Amino acid sequence: MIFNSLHFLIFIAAFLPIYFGLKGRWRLWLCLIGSYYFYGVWDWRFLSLIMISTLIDYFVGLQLDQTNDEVKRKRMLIISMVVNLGFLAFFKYFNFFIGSFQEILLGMGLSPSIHTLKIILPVGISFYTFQSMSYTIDVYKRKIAVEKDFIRFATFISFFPQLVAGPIVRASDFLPQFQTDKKFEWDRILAGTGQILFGFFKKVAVADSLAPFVDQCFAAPGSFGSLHLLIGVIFWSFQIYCDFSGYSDIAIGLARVLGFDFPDNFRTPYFSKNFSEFWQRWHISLSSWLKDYLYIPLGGNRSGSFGSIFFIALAMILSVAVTQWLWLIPIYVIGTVWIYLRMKKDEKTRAKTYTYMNNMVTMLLGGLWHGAGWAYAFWGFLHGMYLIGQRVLGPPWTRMLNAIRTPQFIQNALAILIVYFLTCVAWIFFRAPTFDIAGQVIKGIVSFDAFNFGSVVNKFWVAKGFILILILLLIEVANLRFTFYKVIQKNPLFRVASFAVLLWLISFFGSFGSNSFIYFQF
Amino acid sequence: MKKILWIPALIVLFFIGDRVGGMLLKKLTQQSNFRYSRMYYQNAEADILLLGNSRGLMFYQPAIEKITGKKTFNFSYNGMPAQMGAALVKDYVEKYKKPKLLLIDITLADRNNAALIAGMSAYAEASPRLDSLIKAVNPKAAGAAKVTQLFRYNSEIWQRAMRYLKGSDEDWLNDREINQFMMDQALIDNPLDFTFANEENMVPADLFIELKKAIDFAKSKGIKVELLINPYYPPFFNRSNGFEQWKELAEKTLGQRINDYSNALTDPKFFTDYQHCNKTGSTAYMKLLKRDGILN
Repeated sequence: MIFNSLHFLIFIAAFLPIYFGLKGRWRLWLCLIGSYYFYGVWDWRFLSLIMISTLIDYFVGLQLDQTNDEVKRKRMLIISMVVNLGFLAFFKYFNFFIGSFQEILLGMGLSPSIHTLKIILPVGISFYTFQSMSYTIDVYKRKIAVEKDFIRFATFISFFPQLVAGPIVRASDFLPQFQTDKKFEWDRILAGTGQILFGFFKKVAVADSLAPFVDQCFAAPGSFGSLHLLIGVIFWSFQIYCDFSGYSDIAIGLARVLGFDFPDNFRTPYFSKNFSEFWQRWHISLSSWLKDYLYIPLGGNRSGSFGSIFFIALAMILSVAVTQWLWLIPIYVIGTVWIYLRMKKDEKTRAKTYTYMNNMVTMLLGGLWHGAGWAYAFWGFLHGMYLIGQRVLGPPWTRMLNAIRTPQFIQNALAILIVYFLTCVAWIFFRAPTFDIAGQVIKGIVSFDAFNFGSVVNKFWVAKGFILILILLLIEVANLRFTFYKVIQKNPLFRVASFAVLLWLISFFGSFGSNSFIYFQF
Repeated sequence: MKKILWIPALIVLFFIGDRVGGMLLKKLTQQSNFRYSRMYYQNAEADILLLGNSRGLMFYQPAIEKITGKKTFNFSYNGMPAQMGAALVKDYVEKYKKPKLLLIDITLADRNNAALIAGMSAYAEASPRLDSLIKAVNPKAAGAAKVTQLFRYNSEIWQRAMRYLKGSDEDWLNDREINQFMMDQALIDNPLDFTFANEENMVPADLFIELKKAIDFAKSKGIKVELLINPYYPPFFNRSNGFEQWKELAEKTLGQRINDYSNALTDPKFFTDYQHCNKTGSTAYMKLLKRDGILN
């Protein structure tokens, strides 16, 4: 079931009165059954995966709590990881691994006849798997108390507002909220409704209006001029932002209506002045998950581990084996020698080098989390390079700007533009169906061939797209100065006016084709 | 209790704003020089009527008017399906008495397009025929347009109407020539499929029947009707599937000979892409129609 469908409107209209009419465990049961129904509408067979993950992690949690035997506890943790990551590996990555293996063999002159399987990717598997894993890891590390109530735990894993596309909510943030019965509070409902409406505006009006132009650009980039393609990439950057953050807004708003507080998942990411900041503003729940459960265990910005060296080496070998680009080998050799020499230097340089490696591994795996394809890995690689580049080039760049007495606001504007530009470059690989198409888009833009508005096709889509982006940015910039949700709670007149404006915007600009959310595929 | 009152307040405010906005947008629509605004709200009297989808814009009005000295009106719109074209022709013929000739590029009977038909909501108030067509093919959109007036104007068709608030839409056509990349792709891209085997709910005969009703209606009012197939870029068109059978079906269902100009232009400089001529190509095409007596 998707939020922008009639089915969901009927579901939530029936769900809410019953929810507030019930109390205690009955309400919990309703949440669980409602969540399973919400998911089962898409494909009821895959409910079994959520249930197995839930059962395993629930019992592993209990076992971890009951024993102090570290060997046994580690064994329990491994069981949970193997089951969760096993499902993810099979349903999401099996064909990718097989396909890559086949390409390697083909490159070696062999002609293998390995068959891929027709596997349907269960919606939201990456989200609920990570949410479930974070619980087990935190219980293992004794950061949180075990949840003994099975219904409460199962509801935490499958809570429908954020089940299929996040945000990934940590057990430490979520489970304690089940302790108290949520009261019917008008202020919460109104604040939640405001966020839901803004989410719908982002998805139905902005993202879905930009989608046809973007689809056209990436389907046949060679048919269009330079300016057309550039606009296509800008539109894509806003389409994916509005699609995903729109979903998050609806999910967080819905949770707020139901009495739960979820942390923000997006904070105007395209206003970031560097890439560390970007990742603190974009898909915050995933980036903080990767930081806590991957980057820091790898050594963070202090030290390294066998894991980071292993992943880097594996990525190098696989990229050469799959692409057959032998020219990569000397680059990798030079890179490895450079790393080795840096490791030989002082402690500070060694720590820095480990930081670079850990950044790269985290971003590569973060890229692969999004999708089973080399394009996603490359997108992650680019972001890894951006983070490293920022650490290496950032300080001299700032020193240079200060030396020529560049005013702070110009420095900020320049930084925002550079980060946005590089983010867009990476987005091209994320969106293009193949590397070849991505290359055509980039080549088309930098050729500056037909860089005039006359050559742009479907100018009406362009005009509408830019008007919507402008409205979005105006709302977001205003929101930076005063948080709308707080103003909505305080000022009833503003509340009614802002809701009405959002409804008018949705009526006037919305695309109502029940388009699915992009992040469902992840 | 006090807080619950904000809900009816929101509903009232929404509908007041929606209705006021709707009235304003309607006023703008009526003032536009866009073809459907002129047809429904102003005077669009013409001698020659032109109908098609985006390929119908190849009936280049300035060229026809220069060649024949007669006034033209073009119904064509990107992706227009036959039912919508038929409704527009009937509405026009009922309202205006003057037309003598109707040219139809029959390739508009190559698709269903419920979304585009819903986009005509901005003109539904002026045309009971369009209103019932929208209700029939897109009942959800028709229902939404009843609830919110702003939604009626949520379409590309209306945006075009705003584009032509000042200035005419009659000379619009692409200027650019097909590029080398597209010429190369023409030999490898998916060919045109006139069997429509992969399209859901697509029955070409049904679409021709809709068109036939409009043709018969026009003929009953003394209007001469000429059926045509406008030019395609030949290297692309020659790879198409099932064209001859489709043309045969069209002639049989419409009961009239079809003037086939699909391969009439060969020079790439006449094309803007595989399916559309540019201004130069369209002007050349209009000269061909004059030569063959179609425009007489």
